[in-house]
Amino acid sequence: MKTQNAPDPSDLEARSPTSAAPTTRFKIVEIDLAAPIESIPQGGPNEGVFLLFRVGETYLGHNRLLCTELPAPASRVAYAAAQTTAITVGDLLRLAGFKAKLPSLYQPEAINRPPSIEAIQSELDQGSILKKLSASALASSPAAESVSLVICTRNRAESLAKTLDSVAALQPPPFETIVVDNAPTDSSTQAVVSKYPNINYCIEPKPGLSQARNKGIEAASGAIISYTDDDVRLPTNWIKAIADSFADSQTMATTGLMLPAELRTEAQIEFQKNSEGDGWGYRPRHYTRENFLIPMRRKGAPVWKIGAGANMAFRRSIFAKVGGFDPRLGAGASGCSEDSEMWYRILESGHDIRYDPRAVVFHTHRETMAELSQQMRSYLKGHVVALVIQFLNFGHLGDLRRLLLSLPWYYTRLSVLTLLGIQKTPNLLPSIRGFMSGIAYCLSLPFRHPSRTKATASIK
Amino acid sequence: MVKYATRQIDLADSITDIQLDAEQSGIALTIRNGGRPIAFHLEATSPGAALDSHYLKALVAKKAGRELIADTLRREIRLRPIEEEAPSEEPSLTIAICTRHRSKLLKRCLRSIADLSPLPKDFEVVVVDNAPQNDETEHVTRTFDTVRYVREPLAGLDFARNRALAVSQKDYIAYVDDDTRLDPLWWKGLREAIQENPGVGAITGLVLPLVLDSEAQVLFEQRGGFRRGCEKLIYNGSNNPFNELYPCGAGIFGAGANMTLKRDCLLQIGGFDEALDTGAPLPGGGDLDIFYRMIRAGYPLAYEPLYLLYHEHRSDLRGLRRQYYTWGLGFMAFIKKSIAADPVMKDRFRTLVYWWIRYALKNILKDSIVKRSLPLSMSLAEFWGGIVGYCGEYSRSQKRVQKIRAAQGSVSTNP
Repeated sequence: MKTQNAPDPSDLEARSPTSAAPTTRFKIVEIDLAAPIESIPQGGPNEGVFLLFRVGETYLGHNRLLCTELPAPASRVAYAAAQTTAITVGDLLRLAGFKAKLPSLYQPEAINRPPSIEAIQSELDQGSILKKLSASALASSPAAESVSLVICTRNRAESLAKTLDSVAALQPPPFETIVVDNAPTDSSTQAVVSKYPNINYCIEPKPGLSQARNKGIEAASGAIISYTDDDVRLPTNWIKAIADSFADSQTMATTGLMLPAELRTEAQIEFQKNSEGDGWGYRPRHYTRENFLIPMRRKGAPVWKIGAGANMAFRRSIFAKVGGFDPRLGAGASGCSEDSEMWYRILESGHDIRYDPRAVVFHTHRETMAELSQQMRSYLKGHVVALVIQFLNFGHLGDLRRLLLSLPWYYTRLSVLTLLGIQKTPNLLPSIRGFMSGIAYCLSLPFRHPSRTKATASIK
Repeated sequence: MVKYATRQIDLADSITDIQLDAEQSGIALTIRNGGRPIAFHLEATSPGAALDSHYLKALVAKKAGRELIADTLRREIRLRPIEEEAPSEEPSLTIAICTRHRSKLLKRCLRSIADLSPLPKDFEVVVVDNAPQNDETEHVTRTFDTVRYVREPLAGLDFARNRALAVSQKDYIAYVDDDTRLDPLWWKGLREAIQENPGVGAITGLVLPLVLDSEAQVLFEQRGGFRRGCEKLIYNGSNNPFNELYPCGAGIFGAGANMTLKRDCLLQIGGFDEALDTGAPLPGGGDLDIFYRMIRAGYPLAYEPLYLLYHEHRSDLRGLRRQYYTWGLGFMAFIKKSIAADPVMKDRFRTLVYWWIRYALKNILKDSIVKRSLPLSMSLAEFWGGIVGYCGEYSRSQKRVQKIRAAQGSVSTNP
């Protein structure tokens, strides 16, 4: 009996030890459950697939098949599809027990009635699930309001051109498209924009994303102002999805789902992993002052989990009530969080926000680890400044508590665990540095800032 | 005395009340949908509890609501018909039961094979009697007229497994432990896994508890038992960038109590390593070794929950302690062997050893603090087994195996 199992010398894999393993990447494959499913062949070395499941234009979930799980026969893909999307399907069929929880920093809110097996069985028995899903996706709300699209950009003409390509394909098209060129150093953005018809180009000379976003409010005349970034691709139904997300007249702001446009590099995969936390997903959420801000503000309400600036929209009228974006926040100023601080004000003023995953954008994540570190740094910096500003605006102690207790404790713990080798934390150092520079930025701020009154005035 | 009831609920039927016996203080519930297992739930109750259908429905909805939607949805999704995926001709099968002096258990196992529905079209059952001292096994086997009886004179489970490999002429060999009972849908699940995964080298299946009539059995099942969940899994290739232990941590692939191997793949990689699973001194590791070598030879591995059987766990704590010792021992012997046999994976195996030490110490810590866990002696036994296994048990075993061969004066049993 042969007991020695020498590896076959022709097996290339066998000779590649762990350290020299080729970098991981994922190919993004969209799968429509309503169409017959096909098998997925093996990709390159260490190449997995990121499966994106949908019925028609409704996205239901994603999952990955690692290189070790490929090639995958069609039956296997169908199985992954069913397992991955079941919870979303339960929610779309309006079954009890499948609603998404609101993001929370402590005990999750019990907003779900427990599921009932009879209800599930009768819903599943009444006919085809897939047919029902397709039908509910087609049922659209009447009297959609005019949607202005605002894209703020700065010196990224090449990436912007790709975004504008997808804007040109939107069906229905937006009421108007406004590109705000933020303190440009050359005319490349203008040159790109001039190639597309029906785009209003304007310049905001003061640097800062908030300044540019406020410029967009000034320039726009639609009832709904939607924002996206210069590094995304919009699916053709985006405007319709945004309009549908405002079906409820109480809703003053909405956010949508951000999916990866590509997962080619380690940094992109890492970013994707970080952005899959609670608050995201394929099930809608409804945020109000009562169900979210008040119960959670003891520890600092996690408003940053409501969505992302690359896929958000507001009723125009809300800016007159709560003001524009705070110029101390956002890229070009402290870093980011101009979106979440806006949501904080909207919720505090008693208006509703909805996360509606029917509105999808495909975001191209940062390619290199250096860019990702830089991004993490500015996230933390902006986050710290936003906490201070929220505290100054409303005096909720939870924001201060998060700033002075929760975050320092969190990073101390992570640092100790990382130093002991118990846990691996990528981008720990940039985050801590971002935290520090956020504090420094706050200390340099003037105590009273004219921004809010100014933004409000300019809108009136 | 702790006893749990083992019950099944199929959502295709109506859910009725469950009345536990007076001495039963818990329940192990297998939830199925039209036969397919979708969830398993273990719960302590008051002794002799009556679980009414209302309570059970709520429990089932919570534990398996999502799985029920998933299972129904999966049946709705259409596949693009491709030639190689069209229901091919049914593969032929040898069911091999390696046994020794356990005729009662063997009888139960053989009966359950007769009860399979559907039965494989082209199959044989081979009972390998391993170094028997009497003819009770042969006697039992002869009462089933379609079952083939083979004797393997050399003592050791992997000698017996290789004997089954030598006598089989079928496409696949399903190895089944003698202390198990097959679910009627066992072959349906196995056939599905083979047809869904063409080219697969090994398939493992779900192993559920047959009875939970003693503390040892309940404790064992609470710690996870042999269960690997109710989701289909597949493994292919030697690198998984998200698991630094893969494929060396071969425990993830399944249990030897319920495994099927493709015969020509098994022949190509040289069959089972007879220095593992040698009975009393080193009674384990053979399944880990064969899964690992399959993966390393480039054959995919699949796990299929519908390919299901029930295992009767050790009922006494002494036997369970022995089992844990065995696992530590077999696991480390497998590691030592593989480091020598497959040196390119040396670093990964070293990481696995560190992982295992942390895992074993964590268990010891848990068992000394947490109440209602396994007795401390179990995790200590596993740890001690690991130490013995690491300190040269495999090479000692190789020498013993040579001696056994020499004593029998037999020629090599190479298939």
